[in-house]
Amino acid sequence: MSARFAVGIDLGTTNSVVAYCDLAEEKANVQLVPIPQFVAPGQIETFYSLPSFLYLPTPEQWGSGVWQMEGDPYQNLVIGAYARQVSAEQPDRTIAAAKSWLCHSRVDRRSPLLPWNSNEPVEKLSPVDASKYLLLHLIDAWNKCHPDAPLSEQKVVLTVPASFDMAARELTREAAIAAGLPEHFILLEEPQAALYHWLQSKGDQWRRGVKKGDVIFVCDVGGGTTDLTLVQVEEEQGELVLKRIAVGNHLLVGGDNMDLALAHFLSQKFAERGTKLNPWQSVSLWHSCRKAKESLLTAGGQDPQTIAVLGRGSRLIGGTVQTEISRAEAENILIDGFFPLCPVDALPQRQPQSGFQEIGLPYEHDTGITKHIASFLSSQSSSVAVRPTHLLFNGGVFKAAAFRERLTQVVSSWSEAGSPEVKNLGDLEDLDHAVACGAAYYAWSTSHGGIRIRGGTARSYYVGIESAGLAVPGMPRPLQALCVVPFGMEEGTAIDVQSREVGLIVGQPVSFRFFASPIRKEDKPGHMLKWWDEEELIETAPMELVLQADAVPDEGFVPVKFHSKITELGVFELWCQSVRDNQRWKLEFNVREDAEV
Amino acid sequence: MRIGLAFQLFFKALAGGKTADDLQAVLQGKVSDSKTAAASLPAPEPKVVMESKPVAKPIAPTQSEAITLLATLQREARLIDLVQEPLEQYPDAQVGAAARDVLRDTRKVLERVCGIKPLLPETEGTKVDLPTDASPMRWKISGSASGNKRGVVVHPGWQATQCQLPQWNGNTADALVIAPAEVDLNA
Repeated sequence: MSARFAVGIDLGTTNSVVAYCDLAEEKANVQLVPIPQFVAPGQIETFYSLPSFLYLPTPEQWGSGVWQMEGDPYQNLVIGAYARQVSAEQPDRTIAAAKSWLCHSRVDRRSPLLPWNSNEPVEKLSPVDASKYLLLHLIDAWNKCHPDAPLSEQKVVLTVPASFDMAARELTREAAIAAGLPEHFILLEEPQAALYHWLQSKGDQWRRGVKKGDVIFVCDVGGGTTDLTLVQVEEEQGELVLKRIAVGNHLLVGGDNMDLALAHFLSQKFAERGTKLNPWQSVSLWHSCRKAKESLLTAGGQDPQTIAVLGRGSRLIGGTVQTEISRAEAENILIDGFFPLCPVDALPQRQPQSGFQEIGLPYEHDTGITKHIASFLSSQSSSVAVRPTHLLFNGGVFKAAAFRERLTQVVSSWSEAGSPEVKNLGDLEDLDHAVACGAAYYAWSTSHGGIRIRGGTARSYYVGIESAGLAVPGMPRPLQALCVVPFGMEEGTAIDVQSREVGLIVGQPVSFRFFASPIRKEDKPGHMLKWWDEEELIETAPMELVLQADAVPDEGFVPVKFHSKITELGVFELWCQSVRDNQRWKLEFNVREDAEV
Repeated sequence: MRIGLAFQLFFKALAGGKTADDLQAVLQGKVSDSKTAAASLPAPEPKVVMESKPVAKPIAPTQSEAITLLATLQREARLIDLVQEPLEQYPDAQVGAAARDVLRDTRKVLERVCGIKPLLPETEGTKVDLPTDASPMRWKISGSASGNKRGVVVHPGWQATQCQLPQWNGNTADALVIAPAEVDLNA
C-alpha cells in the first residue's frame, strides 16, 4: 500500500483545515477538503474549515438523534460550527482552545478537565482526547470524499505551533495516532508551513525575492494565539537555503482578544446612553464586533460606523439597540491596543503576582503583540536585537490592511538607519488556509525534491539533576541542569551525551525534571548548568521511567548516561544507556504529576 | 396488474392492523386529514399501497428545501424575524438599523448557498446582441421585436451558480420548523 495523496492538516486553536494534493502530479495542485458539520440541530453544512470547538449535548439531546451524522466517528459530541455558535451561551458544555491546554504544563493533560470549571454534569474530556476527537472529525471528512484512499494510508503532515515544546508535541502525536493518523506522519511547525505555502506560490522565483543574510520574520496571529518564527536565508555551495533560527514562546493573545476589547468598549458606550446590555446581548455584541472588525479599519469606509445589537425574541426591529464607533476609536482600541508603537527594547508587562492565581489558561497580561515581538527579537542575542528584512503574515487577523501596515511600520522602525525597507512577502487571499496548504505542499515536496527549511530543534533541552552535597535542613538540594539536546539538533540525528554517570534505581519510578530554553543556543550536550536566569530555562513536563528488577544486576541501581535522538519524523526520544552493557531504557514524558510542581 | 393489486389489498385488509386502517381511511376519503408533514400533499392512492409494503430500509426523512433555506436565513441573518415584524410602529431609522445587519447577513447566506451572480456579464446600459434562440426564461424582451436583435441591457438578470443547502436529518414531525422556540431556564 503506497500513499496516493499528500495531506496537510492544520489543527488550529480556533479553526482546523485539511488540504491535499496528488503525489503523482508533477506540479503540486493543492486543494481543500470539504468538512461536513452541524450548523444547527439536524442541519449539516459543509465548509472548508472546522471551528475547533466541541459541544457536549445532554443525553436526551443526543438521544433525539438530531446530532447523528452518517458513519458517526464519535458519540455524545457535536463538533464544528454549531459548537462554536453556542460556546459563548453555553460555556459549561463547550470546549474551546483544546490545543492551548495541550501545551499548558500546569495541568494534567491526560485527565478529563474540559470544559474548564464546568458546572454542568457533563462527561469531561482531557485536552488530549478533545484533540483526538477534532482529528477524528477531520479524518472522517477526508474518508467521506476519498472512500478508496483512507487517510491512514496517505502521506500526512500535521502542523503544530512552533512554540510547542517536546511534551506538547508528544501529546499531539499521541492524540493523532489515537485518532487514526498513520504511524509515520510528520509534525511541522505552523509558521514554516505558511512559509512553504509562500515557496509554493512563488515556485523557483522565490530566490529572486530574497538574498543571503536576509531574515524572514513569520508572524502568525490566530484567533487565540500568536506564534513567532525567524527564518534566515543562507548560502550553501552557491545555493540559497532557508534556516529556521528562532521561535517565540506560546503567546495566548489573538483575534478573539481584539473582538472582546471592541465589545467591551462598545458596551460602555451603550451604558453611557443608559442601555444596559443583558448577557445575551453582550454575546450578540461580541459576534457583531467580530464581523465589524475588518470593515471598521478599512480606509474610505463609513466613518463613524453603526454597530447594532439586534433585539432578542421575534421583536427584532423594536428591540434593536445601536451605537456608533469612529475609525479613530477603533484604531485606538485595535491598532494601538494590540500593535502599539514601541522601541525594540520594549518589554511586555508581566502578570502581577497574586496569591490567588487561577490555574486556567495563562492568557497574556499584556496584549501589545509588538512588545512581545520586540522582546522575542531582543532575546535572540545578548548584544543586539535581530532585525528582520522581510515579513510574512499569517492568520485571519491580518486580513485587515491596517494591522499589516502597522506591524510593518513598527518592525521597520527597529531597522538600523539607512537599511532598506522591510518587505512583505506573500499574498493575502489565503490567510486562513496557508498553513494547511503549505503542509500539504511540504508533504508533496519531500518526494519531489523541493526545498526544505532547515533548523532542527527550536530549543535546547536539559535534564535536571540534584547535585550531591551536604543536605541543608529545609533547603532542597541545589539543582543542576544537564544539556541533553543542543539548539538546532537536526531530525534524523542522535547524540551520546558526555557527562558523569547517573544512577538509576531499580523497581521504582525514576523521574527527571525537564527544561527547555529557546535562547541558550551555545550550550553543547553534556554541558552542566549550575545557575541560570529564571527567564532562560522553562520547565516542561518531567520525564520518567521504571526499571524492572529482572533487567538489572543485584546492586539495586544501574549507572547510566543519556542518549538523545530525534527521528526523521521529528519525534524526540531520550534514552538511558547503561555504561556496563548494551541495555538501554527509554524515558517518557510524565504529564500527570506535573500539575503539582 | 390491477387484479394483483386487488388481491394484495384484499389479504392485507383481512389481516387487519395498520394497513387495514389505512385502507379504511382511503375508502372513506380521509387520507388528506393526516397531520404528518409528509402527508401535507394529498397522497395518491397507489402510494398508500407502497407504504403498506414491508420496507427493507427506512427512508431518510426529508425536509422541503424551501424550509431548509428559510431556516438558514433565519438562523444566520434573522430574516424571518425581520419580515414578520409589523413595520407601522417604527420610524425608518429604527427599521434601517435592524435591516442593515439582517440584509448583510442574508446576502452572505445566499452567496454561500446559491452563489448568486448576474446572468449577463454586460452591465446595465450597455448594448447586447440577442442569440437567435433566446430562451424566454433567460431573456425578457421589450420594445419592437421585428427583426431587431440588438438592444440595451435594462437589468442583467440573476442566476444561482450552485445550490448547496444544508443537509437535513431531523425527525419528520419537525420538518416544517423554521426556527426553534427559545427558552431560558435561568431567567
